[in-house]
Amino acid sequence: MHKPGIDDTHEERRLLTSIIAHIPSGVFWKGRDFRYRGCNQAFARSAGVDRPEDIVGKTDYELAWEKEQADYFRACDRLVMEENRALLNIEEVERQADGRQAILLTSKVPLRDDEGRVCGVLGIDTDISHLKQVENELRQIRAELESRVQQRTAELSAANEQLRREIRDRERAEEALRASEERYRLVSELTSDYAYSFSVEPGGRCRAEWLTDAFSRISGHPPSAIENGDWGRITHPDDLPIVERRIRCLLAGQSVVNEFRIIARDGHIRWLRDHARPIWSESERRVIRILGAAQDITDRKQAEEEARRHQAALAQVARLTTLGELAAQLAHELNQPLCTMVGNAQTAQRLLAAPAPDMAELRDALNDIVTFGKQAATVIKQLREFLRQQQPRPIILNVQRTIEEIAGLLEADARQHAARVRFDIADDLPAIRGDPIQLQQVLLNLVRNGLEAMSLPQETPRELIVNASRHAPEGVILRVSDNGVGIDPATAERLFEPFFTTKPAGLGLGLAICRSIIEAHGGRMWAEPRPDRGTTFCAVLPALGEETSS
Amino acid sequence: MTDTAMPVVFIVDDDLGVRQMIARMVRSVQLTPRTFDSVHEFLDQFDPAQPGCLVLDVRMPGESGLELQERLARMGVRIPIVFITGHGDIPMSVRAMKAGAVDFIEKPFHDQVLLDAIHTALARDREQRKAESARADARARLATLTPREREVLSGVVAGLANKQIAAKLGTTEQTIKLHRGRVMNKMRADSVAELVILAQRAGVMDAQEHAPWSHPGHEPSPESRA
Repeated sequence: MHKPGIDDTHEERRLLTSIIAHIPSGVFWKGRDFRYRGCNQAFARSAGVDRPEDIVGKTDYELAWEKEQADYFRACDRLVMEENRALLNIEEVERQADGRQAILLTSKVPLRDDEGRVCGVLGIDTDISHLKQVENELRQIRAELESRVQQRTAELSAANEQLRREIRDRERAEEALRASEERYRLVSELTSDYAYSFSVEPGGRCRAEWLTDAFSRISGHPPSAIENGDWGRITHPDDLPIVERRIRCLLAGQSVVNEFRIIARDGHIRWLRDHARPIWSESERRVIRILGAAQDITDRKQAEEEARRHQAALAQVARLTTLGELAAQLAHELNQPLCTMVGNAQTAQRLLAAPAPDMAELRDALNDIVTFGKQAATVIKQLREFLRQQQPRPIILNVQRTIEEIAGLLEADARQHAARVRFDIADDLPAIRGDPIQLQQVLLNLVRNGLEAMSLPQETPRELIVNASRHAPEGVILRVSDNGVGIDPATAERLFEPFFTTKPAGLGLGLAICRSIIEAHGGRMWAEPRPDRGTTFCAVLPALGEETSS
Repeated sequence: MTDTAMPVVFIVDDDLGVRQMIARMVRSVQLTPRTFDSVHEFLDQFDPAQPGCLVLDVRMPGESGLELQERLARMGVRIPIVFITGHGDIPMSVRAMKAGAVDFIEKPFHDQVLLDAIHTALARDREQRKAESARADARARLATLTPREREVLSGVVAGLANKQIAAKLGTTEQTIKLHRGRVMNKMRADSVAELVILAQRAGVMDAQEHAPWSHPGHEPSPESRA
């Protein structure tokens, strides 16, 4: 049992004093006169006095605080005492006796006497500087954390935005790609080009990587037709060497442009212009891929061919006309020296008849005869060379078409001679082997001959008949008939002799040339008088296969 | 006078051999040739007063022989032309002959044919020049007549009697007789026939239609010569 007594009170007091002395806060108390009545050691230290007893009787103005601080303390004390209420947890910055700026958390309560009257003030302050510092550091850390979080968030949203942008770009790119593909598809459909890529194996074998649709559209063949790089399968046999050279060049690392023909699936020939480029691998030291494009140039080629045919036709007309002009030109070329020679010879005779011949003049005349005789011989030699150049270049030809080709020319010639030409060409003529231009020359010559035979005034309308018909067993017979003056049967055979002529300006070579051409074709040629009026010139040409036997 | 100058045979041919041969042929008959290789060269050096004739190739590079013939006619030059040609055609020769060519000879030709043609041409040139000189002479005599004497001459040429002329001119027959005597004298005519011919040469007849006593159909033929 514990019985309260003096000893208990004493004990209690001693305990209280000890507590006050040792708590880590400053404890102080003041009387109504604002003078300190006591404090613990902690407070004494902060107030700048050595011992707690030294503070007794002092006011705040006599301690370590600055005046503003002391004023503030006084105001707070007054408030507590006059209003009889506690001021709790006042946070204040206080300059300590040791000069340190401390953050204090102070609470002040009124002290009451036994009657309950306010007789002083009790204060307790705790240095929370350290706490504050920790709190500060914590706040800083939090702020830093927050800023980091914010930063990361910003980064994240930026990344997000980037991603969204990339997605948008990608969508746009895909859209562009789709448009490009569509465009490409259209271009590929609309142009005559196709493109391809072949990979090349170390052994040189090719394999299609891709090949655009136009290939099939142009050739009619499926892509598989050339997937092994086997162009030879669809190439025109005549152009195989081109295609073979092309692949050799490509594998040797050379870009090539070639024009060659392929045979389309429907059997038609298509012309291609192929442009290919090898891709060289530096690491493998060889061509690993062939890229290329080809264009269908069939139309252009056909136009070119057309133009060439047209040009050849023109050249042919020129050559045909030349034959006629050649005779006139030759006549002139030979006539000039001949005239000179005859004239000089006659003059020489005249000079010799004089009693005292002018020897100088005579010598000049004889010299000129020699000079111009040689000139005439040169003309003849040139003629021979010209005729030798006319070697036949035989092809298998259609007689009907050969005649039709110069029909216009013959008609024009006839019109100039006030005559007309009638064509009577059988449509079952066998094919023959021959040089179309030479045969046309023969025909033109015979027609001109006939027109000249009708050049004198005559009662019957001038008419030439060009007839071609089957001639068993040899082949084709050409007949050119006029209704002109006709020929003497006795001279009919001589007509074909060189330099035999009945025409004043003629050279007598036309028919000789005609006959030699026909005979070079394995045929024969003759003339026969027509029963009523005029002459028919006939030429027989052997059909294919018959020519060797005739 | 030009009548007495030696005639020249002008040879125009682009072929040197032919040109030289014809020149030689011409020299062999004691005539004087001059050669030209083109129409252009000939026109550069040609003097119309020089008597002679022209031997002309039909076809030549540049101006042809036929073109030269036309040009000379336009110039009033009447030099006789002998054409030679390597390949004569009928229309061409007809054209040349119609335009007054002496001959149209095809090459090669016999020398005598060409020489005959040249002689004919030279003779024609001589005659033309003589006639021209006679015309000039008659014109000179006519120029000495007074206007009144010319009126009388016109009447005489028109075949009018003195009395008729006197009546027309409003004078006496006697006066006309006097005028007529002076006209005969000045024109150096021995007879009326000769006077008419002289008057004609002098070109009096050309003005005849303007005379008040014109008698159409009564004019002497222009071909008549002295």
